[in-house]
Parts: sequence; structure tokens; C-alpha cells
Amino acid sequence: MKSAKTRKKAGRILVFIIKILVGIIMFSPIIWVLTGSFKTLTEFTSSSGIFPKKGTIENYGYIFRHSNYMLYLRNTVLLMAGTTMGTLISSSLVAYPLARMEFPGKNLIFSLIVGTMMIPNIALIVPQYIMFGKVGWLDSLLPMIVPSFFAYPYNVFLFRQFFRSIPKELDEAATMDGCSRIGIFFRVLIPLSKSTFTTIGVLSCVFWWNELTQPVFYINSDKWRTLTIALMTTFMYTSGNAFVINWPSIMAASTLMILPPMLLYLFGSRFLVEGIKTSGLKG
Amino acid sequence: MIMEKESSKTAKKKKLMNHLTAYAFCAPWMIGFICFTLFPIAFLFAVSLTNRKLNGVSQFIGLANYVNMFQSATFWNSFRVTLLFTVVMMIVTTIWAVIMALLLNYRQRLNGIFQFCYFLPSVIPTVALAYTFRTIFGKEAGLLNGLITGLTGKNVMVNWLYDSRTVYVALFFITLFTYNTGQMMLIFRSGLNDVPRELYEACEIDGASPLKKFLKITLPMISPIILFNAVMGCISALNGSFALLYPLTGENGDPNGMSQVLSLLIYKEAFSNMKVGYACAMSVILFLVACCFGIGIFAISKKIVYYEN
Amino acid sequence: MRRKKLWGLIFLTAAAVGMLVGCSTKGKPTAGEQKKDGGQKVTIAVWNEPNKDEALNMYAQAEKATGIKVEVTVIPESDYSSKLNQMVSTGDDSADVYVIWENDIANFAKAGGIIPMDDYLKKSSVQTSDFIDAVSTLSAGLGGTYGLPWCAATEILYYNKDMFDAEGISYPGNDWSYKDYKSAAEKLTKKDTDGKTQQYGCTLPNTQTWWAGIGGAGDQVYDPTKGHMVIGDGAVSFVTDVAAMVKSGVMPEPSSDTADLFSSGKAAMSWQGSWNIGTYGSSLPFQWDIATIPTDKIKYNTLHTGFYSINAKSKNQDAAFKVIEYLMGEEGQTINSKASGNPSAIKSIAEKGAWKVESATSVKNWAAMTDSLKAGVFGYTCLPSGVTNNAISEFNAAVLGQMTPEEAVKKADAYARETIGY
Repeated sequence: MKSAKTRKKAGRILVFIIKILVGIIMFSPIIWVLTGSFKTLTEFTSSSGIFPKKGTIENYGYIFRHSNYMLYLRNTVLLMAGTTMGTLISSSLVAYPLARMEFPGKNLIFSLIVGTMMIPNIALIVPQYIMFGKVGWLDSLLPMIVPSFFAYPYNVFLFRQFFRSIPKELDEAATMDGCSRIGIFFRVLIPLSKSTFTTIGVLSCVFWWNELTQPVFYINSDKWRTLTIALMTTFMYTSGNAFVINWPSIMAASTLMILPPMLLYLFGSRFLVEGIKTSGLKG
Repeated sequence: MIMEKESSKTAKKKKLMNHLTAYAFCAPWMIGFICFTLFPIAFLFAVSLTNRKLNGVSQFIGLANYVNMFQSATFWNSFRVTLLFTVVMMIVTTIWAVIMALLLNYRQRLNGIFQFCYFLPSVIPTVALAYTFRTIFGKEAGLLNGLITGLTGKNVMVNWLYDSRTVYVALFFITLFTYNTGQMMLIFRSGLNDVPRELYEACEIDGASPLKKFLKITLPMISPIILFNAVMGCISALNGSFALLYPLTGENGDPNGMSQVLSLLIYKEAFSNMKVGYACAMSVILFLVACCFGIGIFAISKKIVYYEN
Repeated sequence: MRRKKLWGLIFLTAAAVGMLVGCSTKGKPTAGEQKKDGGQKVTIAVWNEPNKDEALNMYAQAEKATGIKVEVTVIPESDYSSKLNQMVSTGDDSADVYVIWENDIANFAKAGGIIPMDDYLKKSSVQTSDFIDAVSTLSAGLGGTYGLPWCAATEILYYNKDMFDAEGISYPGNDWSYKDYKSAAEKLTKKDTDGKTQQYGCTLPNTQTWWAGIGGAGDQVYDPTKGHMVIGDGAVSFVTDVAAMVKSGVMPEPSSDTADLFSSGKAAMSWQGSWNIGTYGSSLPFQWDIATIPTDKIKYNTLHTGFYSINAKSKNQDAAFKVIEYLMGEEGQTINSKASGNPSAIKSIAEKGAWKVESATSVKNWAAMTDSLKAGVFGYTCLPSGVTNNAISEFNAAVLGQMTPEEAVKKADAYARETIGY
């Protein structure tokens, strides 16, 4: 009996040690970015020490002095806020009938949504790009914000999963009270789905804050450049020389870019796990 | 009789109203589906039959793009790389996400801090992640070489991302830090929470080992979620590889095209070589590859996934 | 209470976003209107930032001289060409003047994206007959003058004088042969006891200077009559050489954490674009000078330029030409030379030597620049960047020993064949 107990205790300690190891592996890039942002270019490219020998904040100064940082930040925030608003509104609307109403063609629509979830966006980006060019939306945020108002399949899916977990009796009770279908959505479902709105909102914000592919395709000029593109262009090179990569400046810009998602995570973490409902994934 | 007819009429009317409301709710998706998915797909096939250039000049050339593509060594290399990258990345990230979720669901002190550490890398912008790892895996002053040198005392100078023997190890290691892995971990965590405790307790009474518990209970119970995540992992491997690899190994997929997935090649053909029509033909292939993966995963899942009912 | 606040916040953000997005879409027409009634604003698309010093900012000076408001849109060099192509394909009118690269001018002219400037030129003071010879060959066959060269630049050899002094080797001259260069590079390489190189003899060729080496080894690189890439024995011999030098530690390996080893004092020599004279200026902690690229079989280096051209969709072409006229005039060209270190493409202006960057006090061999320009030809820059970058990627693979130089050249050539002439 005692040996079983000690074995269990040893197991717990072992798990704890593994946890710490995994934690170190996962967190080390962030440490490297953070300390790298305080190194000089020469030190960065010549030594592999983690901590800077002579700390400098010049890299942060460089970013603000040599680029329109605030403009890029504005663009990124606009992109993030616009798409997140769009997807929260439209995806929850679309998920509602799929989760709680019966109508002909429901299964067809749902399988089409699951089907489109599997089409990688990158396969369609060239024709979309030509299309948006014809409408005159290139070099603006519209090619990314407008589609978000027409529901992203993945988010529809997550919303549907969550709505299904809310007891149906609530709907019936509300109908008794004279609530219409639309009323049920606004008065019953939305107040109960705070955690899922937060989860999807946080995930969407993080996704668009970090998104590179679509801005790379759609944005040409400095005017609408987002922080991710700036990281590859403006912050990347030492001024005047397009062939020398300014690593510490990239690290400083990255550090600044990590902070907002980090705060967002701290704010949303308590919802993150409960907001995703996986029960009855199929069916 | 009349009364009954009346009521059935109003019931019918009500039903119709209900259906119309449902369709109205679905309308945003339908419009989006037609404008941003269906039409681009049709357009994609149409453009792939022309020699459209980036400056807009185009001419119908039939299947010439496809003929050229199937004769191109670059395309076939990229095709192979895409398959390899997608399959391995899907497997590696799914397993890693399960491991992290299992560790976090093992209730212990400081779990909040651990989740923070595990999830945070996935919110780093992919571009930043790529540049970070370019320096961590650097030859002259990289962190990894520095660490190994410090531990072994020998002067280690591995050119991780340019050596054909280590490049894949390095690349797949980096995928563990992507947004997708973090998201999968969250989904696994919530799935693991839903596994009924009683099942474990029953098993414990039988004196089963932790491994046996995992194989007998956990794995079958979360198998639908594994399927879901595998599908998502596959899509994001096809989709997200561009954002990771473009800043990491460039549009040529250094070294020697070993990391040139199709999305990189599409970008290169369309925007560096201005061959938009040709790039569309490649996109068609990528589209078909994605379809095959989707169908394949579901076919496999029918055999092995366990459903509650 | 709290919930109400949260909702309020969400709605406020929504409203703000809506307004901002609305403004962004409305932004364009108002700008257009302004242009129509004033006609006094010209936007120029370029790839590098204008000089921060106003006296050296030719666009600010152009604004002062012409009275036309000049705005600069900076598009990063890495996608400059593709973004410009996109703008032409969509009939974008947000830039009135494009500075176009060598490989695009013919395409843009054919696609009707830019206009011929001959009518304007008849009445103007721009000395088109005085351009360096290579320019006229490039625009021949277009049936008009679609672009005016904004300056001329090329590739040269940079060297660290202090390291040469320490080894007691005589400085590189403009008559240096490739053999002289190789033996000096070997002598200048210093290694640790365990074989790790501490000081490299020379840096790895970069995207520009690979082609200088290949051209010097006897290949044509670019065939202007057919528009094809022509590489063969020359490329094989140069790639083989580089691979050997990397293997013996004279040159560094291609690596993911690239750094400028010359400026950080870890390499004695470096082949780079002439525009770095201005970048290095007085900022390097050692004495340095320049020389021409060492001559192997022939003297070869690529000429770089850009062409001022007018967007066919622009609503203020007259004003655009006035700005170009200033920039091509003596004042504009002189300011450009002083700021960038690139000589003017107009011979009589270049002779005055405004391009000898004042801050680069350690440079004595300015003749290297004039000699290089004389030898310069339009080369790889006329090819699609996808093709040339692909070739360099193959060369790097050969340098790393992943294939033989012959295979690398063959693969690069095959890719060029399937890509060019689409």
C-alpha cells in the first residue's frame, strides 16, 4: 500500500518536471526575443549569449524614429477590430439556425460549411486577388474586412457547437413568453454565450493581429501597411542598406507585437477553455 | 373540418415563417459563400486556362499551363514537399498538442503559469517566430549552437536551416510553436475535461496503469476531437505554411527547394515571375490536394473514430 | 452595471471602426477631386526612403523648385516590381510617377501602363542625347522614350585597409585580376586552432554580385535580343570557386542569420553595390576603400538604374513631367548623387563628381567608380526576379555541397527556360 503511494508521488513529481521542461522549451523563444531586443547588432550577430553584455534601448528608438510605427499600429488595430466585429456578428447569426432550428436544407448548408472549412484560403487567394483588383479594393483593408462580415466557417462551427450545449427548454420557455425566434437569439442565447463570444473574439483578434499572408498579397503602399508586413520590410533592414538585416530591431518590434496578444490572453484565459465546446462533434 | 383546415393553414404559415427566418439568418453565409468561395473557384479554373500576366494581359491557351506544369521539375519537387510537410506537420503538431493538454489537465500547482507558458508562443506573430528561429538556428551566433557548445564543450557549428540533414528537424520543431498548435491544445483541453471521471475511477479500481488508462479510455473518448484537430491541422499546414516559410526560408524554399511548399511556389510564380495564369493552375492542384486530404481523413476516421452513440 | 459598460465599449469600438473604414473608402475620391481642381500634387512611387536631410531630399527640393506638391510612396524593394505590376494591372492612379526597374519598362510600355514622353521631351531641357550608352540600348525597340534613367549604379569591391596593412598585402587596384583577388583572400583568412574562421578573406557574393562573378567568368548572363538568361561554363567555374572558398573557410557559408560581415569587421573584402558607399560613409570603425570587381576572363559588372516614367492613368501628367524635368536636371541629379552616392546617368553631369560621397573620407580610389560604370552592362536586372533568385538559391545549394555546380547551373537554366517568355 505504501509503495503504491510513493509510486504515485514519484509520478506526480515526474509529471511536474516534464511540465517544467516543456515550459522551458515553449517559453525560450520569447526570452530570446526579449533579450535580443536589447542587444546591439554587432553583439547579436557575433555572440550566442542569452543576456546582452551592454544593454541598449536604441533598437526601440530606431523603430519609432525610422518608421511610421503609429500608422502601422492603427492599420493593424483597424484590421483586427473590423474583422473581429464582422466575424462575431455574422458567424453567430449563421450558427443560430444551424444549432437550434429545423428547416429543409439544413444538413446541406452545414456540410457545405464544413466543406469550405477545408479549402485552404491560399488556394483561392490569386483569383480573389484579381477579383478585388477589379473592384478597386487592392491596397486597402477592405479585401480582408468585408469577407469577415459574411461568416467564417470555422467560427460558425464553434458557435454552433456552443449553442447546441445550451438547453433547448430555455427556447421553449421564451416562446411561451411570446418571444419570437429573433428575440430568442438576442435575449436568450447571446447573454448565455459570453464565454464563447470572448473565446472567438480573442482567437480572432490574435489571428488578425498576426496575419501576414493576406496583407502581403493585398497591400502595396506604406499607407496601409500592417505591423506584420512592417516587420518584414521597414524594421528588417538597417536604414539605407537593403541587404543587411537589422536583427535587434526585428526583435524589438517583435517584443512590442507580442505584448498585446499577451494581455489579451491574460484577459480572456478564464474563458478560453470553457468557451470551446467539443461534445458531440459529429452529429 | 373547417377549423382544422384553418389551423393547419396557420401552422403551415408559421412553419414557412420559421423557415424563412432560418434562411434569413443564414443569408450572410450564403452571400459570402457565393462571392468569396464559389465564384473564386470558378474563376480560378477559368484563369488557369489563360496565360494571364500580373499586368493583366491575358489570352486563352487551353491546357498549356497544366502541360508545362507537369513537365516542370520544380513543380514536382514542390508537390512532394507539400505532401510531406502537410502530413508530418499535422501529425507532429497534433501529438504535441495532446501532450501539452494532458500535462495541463493533470491538476497540480502552478497550472495557470504553465498554461500561460505553453500557449503564449502561439500568439507570437508567425513572422516574428520565423525571424526568431532564424537566429536561434543560426550558424555563427545561434542560441542552439551556443547551448550545445556550452553543454558538450565541443565547438558545434551546425547550419540548421541550410543543412539538408537538419532542415526538416528544425522546421517541424518550429511548427510546435505556431498559432495552430496552441489552438489545438485548447480544444484538446476542453475535450479532456468532458471525459467522464467515473470511467477513470472504474479503471483505477481495476489497478490499470496510467498508459493503459490513456489507451483504453482517454484516446477513444477524444478520438472525434483528434479527427477534428487533424483536419484543422491539415488545413493550417496547407494554409499557414506560407506565413511561416516565406520569412523563414524565402520564396525559393532554401536549401535546394527542400521547403518550397506549393503556396510559396504560387506566390513566386504569380508575383516574382508575373505568371498569374500558371500560378492559378498550381492553385487548382493545391485545391485538389486539400480536397483529397479532407476526404482521406474522413475515410480513415470512419474506421477508427469512436462515437458516443 | 459592469456588463453595460462592456457592451457600451464594444459598440463604441464598432462605431469607431465603421467610421474609420468608411473614411478609408471615401478617402480616394476626395483625393482625386483635389487633383482635378488643383493639378498641383504629384505622387512618386519609389523603393527607398527619401533622405532625412532636407537639403539632400531631391523630392522636397523638387517641390520647392516647381511649386508642385510632391508626395513619395515607398514600396519595399523586395516586392517593388510585383506591386508596381499589380498597380498597372488594376489601372491604379494613386501614383503619378513610377520609378521603374529595367525588367519592367518594356512590359509596362506594351501593356499601356506608362506613356511615351517624346512630346514633352521635345520642349524640355533634358539632355537625352547625353545618357550613358547602355541606357539607349535598353529602350531601343520600344518605339518611344518611356522612361528617363534616374541615376546609374554598379557593383564594386570594398576592402578593409587595416586588414590589408596588418598582413602586409598591397591594396587592390582597378587592374586586379581574379587570381590576385583569390590569393589575397586566402592570405587574409584567419582561423582558430579548431578550424573556425575568425576573419574571412571575403564575404559570400550577394544577390547582385553573384552575377558580376558569373559575367566575369565569361557568361553572357542576359541576352538582350531574346530576353533570355544565358549561363553555362562561366557560371560553373564561378560557383565551383565559391564552393571551394567556402569549404576552405575563406568565405562564410550561406546561413539563416545573415549579417554584414564586412561592416562588422569580420571580413576583409566584399563585393557589393556601389550605393553602399553612402551607407557606410564614416560609420565604419576602420579604414576602407573601393576598387573595381577583379577581372577574370572579362571585366564585368552589372549596371543598375531606375526609370522615371509617367503612369498612363495619371490625371496630372503635365505636372508629373515638370517634376521629372526637375529631377533629371542638373540640380535634381546633383542632389540625388550627393545623397545616394550614385552618379548621374547623364555623362556631363556625372563628370562633375557630385557622387563622391563627402562623408566617406577614407575612400581614395574614386576612379574605381568611373571605370566600373564604363564597363557596366545591363544584365540580370532585366530578367524576372523569380528566375534570378531561384538561380542563386541553386548556387547556394551547390556551395553547401548539396549538388554539383554543374547540376546547379543546369537546374537554374532549366527553370529560366520554363519561366521566361510566358
